[in-house]
Amino acid sequence: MRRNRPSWLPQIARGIPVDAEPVTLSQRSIYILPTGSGLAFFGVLLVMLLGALNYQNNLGLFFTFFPLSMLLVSLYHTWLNLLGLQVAVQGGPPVFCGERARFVLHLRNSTARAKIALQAQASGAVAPAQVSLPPRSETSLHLWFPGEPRGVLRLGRVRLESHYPLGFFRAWCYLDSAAETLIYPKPAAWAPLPHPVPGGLHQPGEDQGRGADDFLGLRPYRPGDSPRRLDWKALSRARGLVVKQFGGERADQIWLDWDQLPPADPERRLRWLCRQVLDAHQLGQRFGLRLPEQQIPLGQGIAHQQRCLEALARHA
Amino acid sequence: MPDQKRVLYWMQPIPALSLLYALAYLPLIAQLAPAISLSFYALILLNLAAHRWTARKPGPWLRGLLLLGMIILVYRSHHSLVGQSGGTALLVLLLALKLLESRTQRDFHLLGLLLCLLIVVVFLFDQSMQIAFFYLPILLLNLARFALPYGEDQPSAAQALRLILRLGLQAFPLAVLLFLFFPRLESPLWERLPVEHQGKTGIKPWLELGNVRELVLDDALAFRVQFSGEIPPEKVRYWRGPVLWHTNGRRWTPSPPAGNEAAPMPILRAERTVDYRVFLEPTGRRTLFALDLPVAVSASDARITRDFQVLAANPLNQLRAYELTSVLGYRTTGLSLEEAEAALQVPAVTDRMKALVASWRKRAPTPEALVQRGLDYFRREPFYYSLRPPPLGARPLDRFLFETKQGFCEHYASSFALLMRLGGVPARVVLGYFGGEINPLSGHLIVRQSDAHAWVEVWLGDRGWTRVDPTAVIPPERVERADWLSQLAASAPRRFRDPAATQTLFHRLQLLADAVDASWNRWIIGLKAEDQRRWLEELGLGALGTYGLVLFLVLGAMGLGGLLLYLLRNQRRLPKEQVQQLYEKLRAFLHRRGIEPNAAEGPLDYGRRVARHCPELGPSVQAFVEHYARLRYGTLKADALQINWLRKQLQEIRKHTKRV
Repeated sequence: MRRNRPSWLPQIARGIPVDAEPVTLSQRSIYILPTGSGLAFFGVLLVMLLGALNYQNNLGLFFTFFPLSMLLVSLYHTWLNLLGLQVAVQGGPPVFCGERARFVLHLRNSTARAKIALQAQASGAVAPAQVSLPPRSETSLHLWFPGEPRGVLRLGRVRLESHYPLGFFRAWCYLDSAAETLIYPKPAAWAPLPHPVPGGLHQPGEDQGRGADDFLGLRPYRPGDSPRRLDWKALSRARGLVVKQFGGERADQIWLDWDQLPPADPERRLRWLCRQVLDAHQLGQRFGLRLPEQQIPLGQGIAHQQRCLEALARHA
Repeated sequence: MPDQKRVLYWMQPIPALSLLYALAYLPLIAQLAPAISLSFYALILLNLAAHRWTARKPGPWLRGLLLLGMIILVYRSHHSLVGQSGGTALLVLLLALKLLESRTQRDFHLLGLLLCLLIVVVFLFDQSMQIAFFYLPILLLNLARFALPYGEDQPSAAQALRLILRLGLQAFPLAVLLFLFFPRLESPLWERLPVEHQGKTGIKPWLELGNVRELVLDDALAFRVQFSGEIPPEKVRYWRGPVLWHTNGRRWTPSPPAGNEAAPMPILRAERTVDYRVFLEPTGRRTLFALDLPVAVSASDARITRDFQVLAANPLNQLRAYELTSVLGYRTTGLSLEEAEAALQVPAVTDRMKALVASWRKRAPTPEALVQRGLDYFRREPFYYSLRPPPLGARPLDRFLFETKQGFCEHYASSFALLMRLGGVPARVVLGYFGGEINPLSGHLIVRQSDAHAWVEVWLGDRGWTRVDPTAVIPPERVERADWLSQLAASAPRRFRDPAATQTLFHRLQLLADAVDASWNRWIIGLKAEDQRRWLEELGLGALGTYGLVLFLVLGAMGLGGLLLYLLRNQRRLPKEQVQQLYEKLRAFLHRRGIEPNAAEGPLDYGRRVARHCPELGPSVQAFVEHYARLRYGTLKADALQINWLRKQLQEIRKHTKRV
């Protein structure tokens, strides 16, 4: 597939800046060139033309011109297959290093003709994605990437192309997207136990802490609450999902600190921290994260966990 | 992901290509040696078998061996690897071998493209309409194969065919434009390999008693003629072919005097000029037939000889169109000594013949009178015109003249010419065709092999070469009628033809097919650079020459391309969309009248709200929205009728509002 694509083209070709807002593919952003088999067809047709002309064979000429015309008409179809398509690009959900990451191309076809066999390809993607859209329809296309290394995966340039209908022409456009997908560090299998918040850091004004010791009461379940704290008896008494709240000492208030980890290379530390974050969240602890250049204050809940993981992913 | 669709067996590349190649080869069976055809189909079957059972391809050694075998086979069968049939044979066998070793999509694509090339090669053998319509579906099926490989979106065979038919229809006008205006070459780019042709019938350039008779029973087409003016009457439609100067008593051969090919004999008087175009079927010989007497020929490679034959430079192995000018009244002059000698050459003849001529000469001192005597002899004596004359033995002409007195045009022509020579009048035999049937549907003349004829030319001092047709003096009642001739019906030899036979429905259908075939020959096969030049001249663009054609092509292609693009981009909306559009129009219209649309509101609520605001519009708007709701959300199908009703209703509402 890549054989005949000029390698200089991507460098000088104009891409369309695309983000979550849909952009319509216009005439000026679509490139079109014959494929390998298209060029071969032109070559065979040229031989046929010269032969038929030389032998003054009119039937041969017609049987040269007819496929030639079909070839030219198919050029229109290939071009129209991209024209008017609306595209938006979004990063996919964050993944842990080693899982497969993705980007989502939202395609909307608001024209009256079907858009058939569209292929999206980005450098580094696992495989080109292919999809067809009936008239007035929309769909999403996933571009899968290997979720490696840890950090921010930027999509960069996407080539959206089409060989429809006969594969003799390739129409394509470049989508330049700033979309990114986060790749969290792969959580270590185990991690050193974090230190509880030392007393010196105790600040009376902050005392809404909910810890593990003293039972404070019940509150409704919120997503992200540890299943260990569910009041199963309440559930069995058909009072719905309620969570036991504990309070008192700061046993559940911890700092996950880069500097307190045993000496190791940065990626290993990040993997330990990742494990700690996941565990702390799992246990419903209030935790904060200290990285060399960043500190995330104490907090709790799924959003907090994601914020911490993002900080780990973005750690330079 | 959708399940892997079961792909039809004949849609897989190898079976599909094998089938297409096997079909595309069929017309070549008649052209190539049987050994080639057998090998070709054996390779195809081998390929199918390998695909079915082993999926293994022959290794390089076996392929090399097969290749060598094929080359030897072609050379042994056609004695050449590059000639028309040798080259074609080699090409088809190489393609079959390529198919046998192909495994990648790339190979299959290439084979599909080369199939197009093969089709054009076959047209070197035959350009008839039947062949064209045979190959058109093959071409389309072949191209439909290119629509197949779309991974998950693999279309069905029906979808691929629909797609290719749509593309074909859209491409057809452009193809016609290219065909009409693409500049043709006046002379070839490189030397053409001689085109071979087999199975020729037609007039042979010699006369032996019996060989015209064979032709006369053949109703195949010899040539067609399109006259630019009125068609000359039948009695002067002598189509001149080979001229025979030499005889040994049994056989006449050309052997013209030296210098015959230099230039035509001078013509003193020429009148009644006729312009026409002849479409001659391939004969394998150089003779071009012309109305007696040709004076000019358009083809650059053809010339008129001193004895007024029109000869092409090469044997005609393809349908050939040429334009001629002839004169019906003429007087030639300047008989050379060599010609006089050749035209008076006499073989050994019997005394009876000498005596017969001597008796005529006594009473007929002039050549004209001698000719008249000769004709009178055939008319007075009981000479019969018969297709089955009795056998003539060792001295055929003597026996014909004095004993059997039954014969055909060749008997009359050869014996008459010999008698004239005995009497001292220079004479020669001319072979050709006589008459021809006018096709009333297309206005052209059909000349069949059964119109083959032989006549005599005698040299009369003050009139030059003069045509004499001794067969014509045999009165109709002495034409032998036979049952076996009536089977030939309308295509029977002219003098045996039953006039009623030309009135049957079958014959009319034959004429219709002939007219279609003639237009095919004229406009498809016969289209030439001259035609294109003439069109330009008629448009006043003659001065532009080839550039005019290119201009036409470019402008036409741009026009067609623009039109196609317009049509493709403005495809009809779907019925559901039209319904929605009408509803939006209603809301936009009423919005301008002060009724705000509300996105959250259903059509029925909207209708009720409109009715509250403008009671006078209420009923019609409510009818509209109810109908709309049923089309949009209900089971009512949105067809043209329903959409039209909505459209009318909307117009009503608009009109009504304006009145209010």
